[in-house]
Amino acid sequence: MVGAMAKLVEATEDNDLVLRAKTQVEALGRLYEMYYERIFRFCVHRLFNKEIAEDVTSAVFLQVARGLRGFKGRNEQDFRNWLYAIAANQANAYIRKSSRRKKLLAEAAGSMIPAAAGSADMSFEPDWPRLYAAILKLKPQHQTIVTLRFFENFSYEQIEKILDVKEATLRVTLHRILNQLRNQLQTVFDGEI
Amino acid sequence: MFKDEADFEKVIGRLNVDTEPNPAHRQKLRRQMLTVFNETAQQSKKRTTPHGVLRSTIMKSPITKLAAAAAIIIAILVGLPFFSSNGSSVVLADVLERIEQTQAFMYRMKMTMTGAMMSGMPDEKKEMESTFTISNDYGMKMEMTTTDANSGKKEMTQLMYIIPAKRTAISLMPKQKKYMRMEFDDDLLARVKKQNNDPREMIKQIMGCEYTELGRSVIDGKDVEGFRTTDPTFYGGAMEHVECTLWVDVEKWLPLRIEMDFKMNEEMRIQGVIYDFQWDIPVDASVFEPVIPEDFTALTTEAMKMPGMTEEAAVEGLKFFAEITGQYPKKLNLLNLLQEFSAIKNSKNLTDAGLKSKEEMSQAPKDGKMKQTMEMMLKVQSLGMFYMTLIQDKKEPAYYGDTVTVQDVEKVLLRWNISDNQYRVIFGDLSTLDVSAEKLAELEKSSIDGDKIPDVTEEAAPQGTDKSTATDHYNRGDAHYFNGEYDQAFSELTKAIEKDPELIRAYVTRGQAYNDKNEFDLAIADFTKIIELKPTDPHAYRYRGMAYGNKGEYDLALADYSKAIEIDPMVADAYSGRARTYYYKGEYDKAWKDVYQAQALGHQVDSKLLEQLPKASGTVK
Repeated sequence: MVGAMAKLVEATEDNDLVLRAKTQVEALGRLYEMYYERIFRFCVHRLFNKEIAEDVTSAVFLQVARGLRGFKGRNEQDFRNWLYAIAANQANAYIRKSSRRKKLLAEAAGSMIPAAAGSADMSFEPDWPRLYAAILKLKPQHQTIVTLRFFENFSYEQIEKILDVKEATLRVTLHRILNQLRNQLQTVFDGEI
Repeated sequence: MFKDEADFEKVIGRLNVDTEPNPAHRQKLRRQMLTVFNETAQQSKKRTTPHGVLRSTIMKSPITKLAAAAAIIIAILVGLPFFSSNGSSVVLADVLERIEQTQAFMYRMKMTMTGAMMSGMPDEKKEMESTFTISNDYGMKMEMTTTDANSGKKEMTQLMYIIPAKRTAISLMPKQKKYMRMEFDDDLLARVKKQNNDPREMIKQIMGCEYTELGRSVIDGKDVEGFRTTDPTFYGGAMEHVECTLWVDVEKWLPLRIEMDFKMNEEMRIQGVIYDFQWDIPVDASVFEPVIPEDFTALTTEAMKMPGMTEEAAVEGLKFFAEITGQYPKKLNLLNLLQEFSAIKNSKNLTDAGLKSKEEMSQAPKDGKMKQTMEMMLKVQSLGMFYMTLIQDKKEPAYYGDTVTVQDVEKVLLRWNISDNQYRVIFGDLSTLDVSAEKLAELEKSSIDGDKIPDVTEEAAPQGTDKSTATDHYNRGDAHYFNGEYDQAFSELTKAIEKDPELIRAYVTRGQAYNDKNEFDLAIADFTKIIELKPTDPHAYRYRGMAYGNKGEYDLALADYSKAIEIDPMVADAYSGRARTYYYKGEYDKAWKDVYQAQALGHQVDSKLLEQLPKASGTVK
């Protein structure tokens, strides 16, 4: 009985918050506090440079501020999906310029803190610049999938909603992405992107 | 090389990426974003808040609004009392001395107030620009123009004169063609006569607080040195968030610019900048003499008294709340007091005396109504300002209005330090006594819940090694919750609550997490805490209603949902939650009614309920 009710009454989210944020600065401030860190982290994982991640995070929230009134979503889940979609687009827009890719790659190596000595299963560890170079060779949309899935640990269901793709397509795409990455990493790294 | 998805996940998992955000960027972006949002609001002609309709009908009275605005302005202008500095900075002391050698000076101030001035009032954005002229001999003149962000209209809203020789302040409101005369008592005069958002006081305030030296920078082509305080005791603890930055021109060693960012409470924020200083200007006495045009009428027939900041005035303020509402205010922070005061108007829980007073007021003529409102406001302000002085003077005040009632004759309601080992105590029945620290400890032990630690103990508590703030813990906890990492989420959220027992959002998230894990009693405890902290928040009841429903306590769930609706009939989720509960109780007609109500408010009712209800009730309706 109780269990059934527990399922029926789903975990509540502050849905009104999103509605209120469309007109009330205080509510938007609260949403910002809830999501700033997540979006920043997403941007770092996408761009591997904290300064650039700050710029892109800024672009994301400023776009939110401009577009929130016209946002059709009603609850926090809708808002979250919208926010990540904006973040993905902004990061992709940044990364599309090849000159920027080079800069990202050059700096990415420096942003990594070496894994702790003695970590288990280090035998197949690809070096980070190579891995990142391989990721950067993917289509921007595919890069986003990698970030959401592996760095942000989002479920397929969540990614499906953020990127508006079917789950089956997503699974197949991810399988291909991993193959592509594997191939990339097996070839000799020529230093060019 | 990685074999499959799980393997790749491990590879990525081993990467150690620094994702720690920079708090300065976070803060700056927040400001930028909210500014952009407000600017967009100006362009948007139509405001469609779900609460807008309701809110706009509340606090419509221009009198209350004006009184509220006056209170805020008084708090800002006068609530910056003189506090002796500890003289810890040679540089700042030197700057102060230079200003004090100046006979007369001018400066400009821009302020933006965003949010609702009081609970129940609509959100607003007001931009004010003021020019101040200050003379050691004649007093002060302030001219203020206000821009309404929604309409973009700019108008001269206030002309204010402070004339120390006459112990008077005169405020002219050109738009209303009204003026108000205010009188100071000796105590207040001592505090007010030399200052009004005066840079001298700003510097004294900064010097009396913990501050950071920002080093050199350049503003308007001039080399400057910066000093910033975020010390909550700045402004007497009246603000939830404080950031005040002073930039000193290193050539003249005089202030060049002062930047302020104050969050008064969850709903209101004031950002401002003081600039365009002109030092040692020639002034004429006539500038400081108020000219009241003939067609201006007095707002009240008698001169308004300014708030007193004495113990007696504070007791009067406490007495006022007890008489009208039957209880003491929850907090003595000035803005919270004003909010509690504004809530009286719509409160259903007034004492007989309170109802009588409300009745009398509704029948009073306009002028009388104004006078009565201002008199009541004065008591409220006096209480808030007295408490503010206790904080600014670092007198270790502690206040227990949330638990102590008029009947609690032996319980400590308010206390503060008066000398090394002596404390002044105001008891629940408003009697007073001086006691030793030992006696105070005894009194508080017997009158305070075991887990409630008075301020003095908190201050004395040694700093732990954990440098994270409550918000840091909250953010981490929230992120863990979002990722379904419940154990880490509980740990972080509990730490956030330990650091800030009034951090409502931490209780919200932890309560939701407990609810997810079917720990309904713990969830209920967290939501009950939110209700204690913010009894007017409908969502707190809605959350608790949900937890009670999950526990199978349907009647309690219904009571909570109904309470949420009573507080705010526009909370669609509460109708939706109540509909589910009625459905579960088999009261299908009532369930349908709430479903319709939720839908009428634009809420998407849970699809499962919409599937189950027609089947159970045998009707589609």
